[in-house]
Amino acid sequence: MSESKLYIVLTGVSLIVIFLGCMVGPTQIPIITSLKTIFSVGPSVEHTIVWEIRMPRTLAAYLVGMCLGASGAALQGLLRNPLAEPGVLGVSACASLGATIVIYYGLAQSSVYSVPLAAVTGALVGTIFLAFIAKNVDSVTTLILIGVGISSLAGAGMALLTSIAPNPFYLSDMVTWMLGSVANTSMVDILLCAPLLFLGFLILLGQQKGISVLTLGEETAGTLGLNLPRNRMLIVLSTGVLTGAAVSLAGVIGFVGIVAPHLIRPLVEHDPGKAVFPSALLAAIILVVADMTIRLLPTDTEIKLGVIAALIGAPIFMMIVYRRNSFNG
Amino acid sequence: MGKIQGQSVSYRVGNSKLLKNASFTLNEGEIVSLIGPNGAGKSTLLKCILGILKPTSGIITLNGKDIHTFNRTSLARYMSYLSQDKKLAWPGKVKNIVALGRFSADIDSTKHTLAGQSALDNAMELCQLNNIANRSVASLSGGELARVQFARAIASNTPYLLADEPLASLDLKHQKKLLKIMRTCAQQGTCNLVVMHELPLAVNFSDRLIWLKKGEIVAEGTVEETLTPERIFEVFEVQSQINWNNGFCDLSFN
Repeated sequence: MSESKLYIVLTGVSLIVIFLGCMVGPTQIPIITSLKTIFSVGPSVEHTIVWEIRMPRTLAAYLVGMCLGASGAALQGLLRNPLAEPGVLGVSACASLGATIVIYYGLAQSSVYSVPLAAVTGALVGTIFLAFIAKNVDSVTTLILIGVGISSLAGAGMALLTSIAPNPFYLSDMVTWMLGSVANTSMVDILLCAPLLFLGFLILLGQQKGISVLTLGEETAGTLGLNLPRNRMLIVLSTGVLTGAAVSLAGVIGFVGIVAPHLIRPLVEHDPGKAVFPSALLAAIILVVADMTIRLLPTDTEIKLGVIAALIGAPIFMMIVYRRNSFNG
Repeated sequence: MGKIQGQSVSYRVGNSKLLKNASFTLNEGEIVSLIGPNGAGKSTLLKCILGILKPTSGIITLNGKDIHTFNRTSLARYMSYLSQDKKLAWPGKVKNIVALGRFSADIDSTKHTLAGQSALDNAMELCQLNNIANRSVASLSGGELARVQFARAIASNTPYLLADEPLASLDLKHQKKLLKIMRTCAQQGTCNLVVMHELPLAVNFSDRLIWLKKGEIVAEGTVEETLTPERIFEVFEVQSQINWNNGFCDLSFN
């Protein structure tokens, strides 16, 4: 499949799933009414359901998927490791820790922005630290190990706060955050993250060729003219910003950042640079479909998006790992 | 084409000197082999010339200018590199891997320029890859993969090609094929600096030899000037006999 065809298909499917995302839910709204509601203004129950509940959560799932898919593909290209994911560098954990701290101290109630802002701040602290490290270390392995260390440290911090949470409501909030959900996302949350998304994707756009040439290994890529420290720093920075934005919208959601690039890579002739943006679109589609599945499941309490993403993603991930050849394709 | 010269180049890691006062010149259109036992400093010298390692003392110049004053892209337009490690991270198509060699040359354009496309076609043709252009590198034999990497290196169309053990783990047929390609490149004006472990091949296919031992260049010159049983013993600590037969050097080791 040519690159342009792939983009056309993914964009088409994206539009369809976003529309379906605005339709699907416990309250039945006929297709025609949904269509009318999307393109109309004016107060009605349907309008409120579509514009205040379903549209924000569908868009949030889509944008979170985009962030995680692009971050996963970029990190896999940078680290030349098909098992890399946004969480591997510890930025997801830092973002979650930021949110957990705010919830633990009861600041979440003071402002609707406090949790998203804390998550973004956590992600940026982790990202800036990693960007600084990335500039000064030569080895990707060292970078991964530092990421693992950061992730473990932030995980320990979250576990500590969860175990000593004084208030059961705070504990419930923290668990919700750690499990990942877009159920209560508002348009304000999305707008708050929009500049970060824009910035992250803008930086990644300029790194695609560099990610492709890293196929040859760092040493050879360097002799071909790739400015390795700069390339590494910008990829780390952009994936950090995108992951921070994703965590601030939905909490921790795993596997989609690994699975989407794996499915896309064969379609772009295993060029890791060309896989970045299609992976973002596919991961977005996967998360919207996962979120719709949650809404349709006949459960008393809604299952969290992070749980369903892991339930769908983990077996696919294991299958890919089992079937992949010596080239880790 | 610029000339590469090294003057008293030393490289040290901690207390161990990997390269000691190495001085050398590389000219266009020749095949120069770096030979010596393991740990002699061959790969270190290659990496110093490429700018991957910065000499702790001494200077390497290109066109009379210190190579460390060139930015990465400019340097990549002079030198291409074939690493010892030929593995690829992802199983891309042969033609796409070869095209990565145009990274520095075509960095400012979204598509290959006419000159770039011609360099790619030439590399594919020279390395006989046209019939496997659309195959995944995952399905290639070791010899084919070596040719793909070689094509990627020469697709850069640089005046210098620096290769670290390009013949390692190749059978005789593929070794001969690569050496033939290297000779064609030299005839087209490229200087090939090659780290070689196969002494009989190095002496028969090189224009000049640089003999290294414990980080020092012990001799530099044409094969006829530098190849003696005493030199082989000095560098490799192996007794040998040299027989010249119609311009072909037959080496035997005791």
